Amino acid sequence: MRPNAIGIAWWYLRISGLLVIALVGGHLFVMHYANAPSSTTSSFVLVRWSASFWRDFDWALLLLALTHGLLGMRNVVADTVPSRIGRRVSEGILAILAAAFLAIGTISIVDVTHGLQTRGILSDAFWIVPTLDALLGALAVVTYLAIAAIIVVFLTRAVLKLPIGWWQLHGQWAWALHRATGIGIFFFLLVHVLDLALLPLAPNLYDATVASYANPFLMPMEIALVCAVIYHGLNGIRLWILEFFEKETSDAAIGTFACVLVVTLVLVLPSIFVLVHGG
Amino acid sequence: MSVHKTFRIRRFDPSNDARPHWATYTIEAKPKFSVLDGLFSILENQDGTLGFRYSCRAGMCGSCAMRIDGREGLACRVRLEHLGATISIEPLRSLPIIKDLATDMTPFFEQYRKIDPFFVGDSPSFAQATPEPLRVDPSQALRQDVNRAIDCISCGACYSACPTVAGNSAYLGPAALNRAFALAADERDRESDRVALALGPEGAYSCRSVGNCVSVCPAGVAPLAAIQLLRRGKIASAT
Repeated sequence: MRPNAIGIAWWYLRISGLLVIALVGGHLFVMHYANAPSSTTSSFVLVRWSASFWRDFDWALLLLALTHGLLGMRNVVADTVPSRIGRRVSEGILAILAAAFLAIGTISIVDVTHGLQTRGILSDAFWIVPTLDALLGALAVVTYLAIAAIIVVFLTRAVLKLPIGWWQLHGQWAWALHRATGIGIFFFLLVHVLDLALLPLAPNLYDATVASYANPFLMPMEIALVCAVIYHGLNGIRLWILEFFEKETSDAAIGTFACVLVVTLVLVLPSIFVLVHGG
Repeated sequence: MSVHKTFRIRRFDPSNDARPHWATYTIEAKPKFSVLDGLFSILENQDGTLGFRYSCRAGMCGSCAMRIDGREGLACRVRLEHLGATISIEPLRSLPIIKDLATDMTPFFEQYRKIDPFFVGDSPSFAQATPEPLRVDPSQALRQDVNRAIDCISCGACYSACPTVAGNSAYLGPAALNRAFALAADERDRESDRVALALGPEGAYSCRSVGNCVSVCPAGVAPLAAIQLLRRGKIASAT
């Protein structure tokens, strides 16, 4: 049987996921474990990108993460948008977004190879810093409100002794967390590409933006980001195991989900230490 | 010795009610009472307007599938002694409600019908290559996967528990895909459109591997395993 587009997309999602896990592991170690994110200034990135290995590494990560995210978001659209026209429009917007941000990220990486200047053409556009801060802040507010709303809903149902439906099933949690972390990482990636674009355009503003990562209001988001990336990656490996090596997929699914949660918490702890002491 | 059990039932009559509401009944549950027995007790002694569906009372027909304490199951097979003092009962999700706990199974069977859920024999190429009668080795790995898949009783529990179905009504759903696998894995079957549909835009690749279908299936079927085998091409008619 000849593979169709949706089949190819499914396989690409699985294979690119594995590759992203390998690359993002290295990226996460450098940016969140070996260094505090707020200390990764423009000079830090310049030193790192002076080696072609790290430029190729980060570009490959950008390409794979954006395309993986694009297909993941396409699945979200397919599962939530009822009308065919709505789906097509949403998919088109996502594709344009991914292509635009891939272009911006690529130009940023290529341009830095010419040597980082102290000033760029947007160095005087100081409105960029509060705008990017506002974008990250908005992402944080939405996340905090969503978490608060979820807690309120579950507490209300517990008080009223109402059934929690499929939320008593481990698979529902594994899927919902995978989806929520995937959406969060995708939108963070877009904001991250925008702040990387400041490297050639306004390196002075890039440093100001990175410094805002130490903002106490955004710090929980940084911890959540590391948590989300680790969980999403580990659950991706779990899906590989269930889909390709397990036949029963029932008991194994519970055990592997518990493992994913425990390992995520264990791995995120050192990054919290680095963030708090280095931020 | 009988004990008191409180049933909180999600009731809705589309012809009279604007929205669903909870109704509470307390029954005297005798030993080995099932949820279905409890519903009959309410119907006969407290409220003759309560709507629910049943048929075999033996866990074979799948008619009495509903959500018991939020989890899909067969009312005739779930015993009250395994549940708490207060039991919440709701109709299946993702299906229109006819009345109270009785749902209209049309959307479920429409998806089921799409994959031609019946054996289509006389595969010309197979008949030429294989002399009758066909000898099927029961120990064959694929045959064992098929054995499990054919235990499905089409109760709709997996359809109700699937979040993909809840968000995308065009998705074929776990039961139809499980049936598609069981037939596609049979080398005598000549239906090729079934595989194309099962691997099409609303088929196996739209499954998100959540696994709720496996967790709730009252017949012990693992639709997700069948879907994975479809995606991995473990089907006789595609080879």
